[in-house]
Amino acid sequence: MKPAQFEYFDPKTVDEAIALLKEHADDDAKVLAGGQSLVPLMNFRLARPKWLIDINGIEALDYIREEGDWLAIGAITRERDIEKSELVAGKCPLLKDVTRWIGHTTIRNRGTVGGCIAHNDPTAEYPLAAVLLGAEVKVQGANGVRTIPIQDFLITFLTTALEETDVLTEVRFPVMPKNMGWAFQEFARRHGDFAIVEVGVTLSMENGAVRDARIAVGGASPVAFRATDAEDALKGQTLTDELMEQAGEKAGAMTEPEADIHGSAEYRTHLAKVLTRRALKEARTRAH
Amino acid sequence: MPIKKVAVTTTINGQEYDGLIEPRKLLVDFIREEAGLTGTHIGCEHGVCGACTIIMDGETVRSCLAFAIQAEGKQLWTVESLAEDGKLSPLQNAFWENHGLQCGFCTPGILMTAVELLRDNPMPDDREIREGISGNLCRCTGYKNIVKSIAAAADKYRDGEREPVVAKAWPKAGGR
Amino acid sequence: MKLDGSYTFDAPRKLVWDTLQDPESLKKCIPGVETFDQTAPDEYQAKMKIGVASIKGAYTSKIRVFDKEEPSHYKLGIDANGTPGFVRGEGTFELVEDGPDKTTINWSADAQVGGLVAGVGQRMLGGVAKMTVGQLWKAVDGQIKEKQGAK
Repeated sequence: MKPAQFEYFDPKTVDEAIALLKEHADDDAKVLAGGQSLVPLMNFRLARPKWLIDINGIEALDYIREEGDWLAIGAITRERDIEKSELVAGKCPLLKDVTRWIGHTTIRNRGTVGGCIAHNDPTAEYPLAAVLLGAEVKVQGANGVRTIPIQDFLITFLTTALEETDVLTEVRFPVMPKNMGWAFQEFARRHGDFAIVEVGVTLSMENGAVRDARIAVGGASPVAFRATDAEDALKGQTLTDELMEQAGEKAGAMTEPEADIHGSAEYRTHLAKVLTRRALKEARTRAH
Repeated sequence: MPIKKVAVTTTINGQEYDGLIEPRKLLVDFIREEAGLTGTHIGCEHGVCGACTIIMDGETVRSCLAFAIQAEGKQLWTVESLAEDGKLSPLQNAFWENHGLQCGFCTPGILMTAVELLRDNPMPDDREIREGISGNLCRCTGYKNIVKSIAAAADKYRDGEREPVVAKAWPKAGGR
Repeated sequence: MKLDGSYTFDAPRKLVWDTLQDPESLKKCIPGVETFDQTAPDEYQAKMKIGVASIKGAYTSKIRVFDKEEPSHYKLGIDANGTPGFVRGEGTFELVEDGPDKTTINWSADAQVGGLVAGVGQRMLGGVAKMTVGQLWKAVDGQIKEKQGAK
């Protein structure tokens, strides 16, 4: 199908974009970033914005830089650039790893980190990575600039804390310590499909025991979440096969999955358990 | 809402094309209709089949997920740009020789994807080729001969043959 | 599409029942409601925008309440049509007294969803339904608290 009619704007600065959003507030205005999620919805007419504000021309939002303990990435930085960035590979290897799971090369050429996080599809990889690593989001709107921790930004299914006049300007990820173990496991029917379930893990070890564990699950709830029950069970413990299995069970117990043609709710819970166990095992090999 | 048309000028295969179009006009429709270049195909209109893949400013793009207005001032390359002076390019010859197409519907998208794939990775192994074309759906071939064709093209490049569009679509060395 | 769940209100059962049967309160609770009119006893017509984020559709719905057993049980039928598709279904509601100031509503719904939203929007359906129902109960809760405050 073809999209419904809209008027198109091409601001060159964030302030211009915000002014446009303000002008058309309450009247179906929408920011367009990479378009790899929004345009399909528009082509299906499931989304019918009347005013489309294309931020691809705001060059100031295209950057990857280290700022102290953070890796700051501008909102319209392409997924492909993140995938190929040496800075990301060094400072946040998990982020590079999850990127190759996002669709296909051509999708990653246009898809942006800001657009992905603002869209907040429960099966997407970047919201999961953000939740896992404890990212922050910078938002600029009619009411000024604010920095929002990811757990407060991602609210539920396709819903974020973005208000009508807001533009997401930056996503920042904490630099990963060199000795941190990490892993990302995704299950989809074909490579590049939407994930059915995905799990990310980070591990900090001390004297052979877990000092800190973080487990994030996506695709099995309306929004990616931290499996805190599983994380708590691991603290201070040695990572035995049995314990990793238990952690998987606890992560599964926290899921609120949907059923669809790709799998039942029970199947998704099962996947969450298995992928948690596998991710823990893989993360353990990287931790030192 | 009254239909407000906008002017757009874009360069496709080295030639400028003008149009007066609605903002909602998809890039693939502009390429096929305003520019009359029907080699680029529409398979799904939601970005999963890859039939509409073109190269825009040095990278492959799903043209069904872009609006024509977004191509303003940009350099586009479609499947029509592969052959030069009526001669098939090495990539096209590789597909011809290795039976890499049957109905040909997916082929333009696959060729443009392969151009970028081989530029980024001149010596791909079987797995890398398969992963590289995983965003292109083919209903006829079962992919085996497509993979074979792309591997054969890589061999041709190694033997010194040049894909004409590469120098044009990526005028500066390096880039992405 | 089958859905069920429950929601607990910090209010006596009679108040919850009255709020749910009061068209003035319902008007304020239905997510995205634009118009809400009573067309006959226990029959309503509403125009509403349902969806999440940028995926919203406008629907015209006929709603009727039946099988009423005050204050514990009722059923609701809906026939909604809009550009993104249609929703036809029935919901059953049981109000359980958990205490003098606590009521749990156990609900189950069986809906037929068709048209565009059921086809290409299949991935979205479950999530949107969950969200819409969540918004509904939150709004009812708000109405109930308002009534309690007004007392």
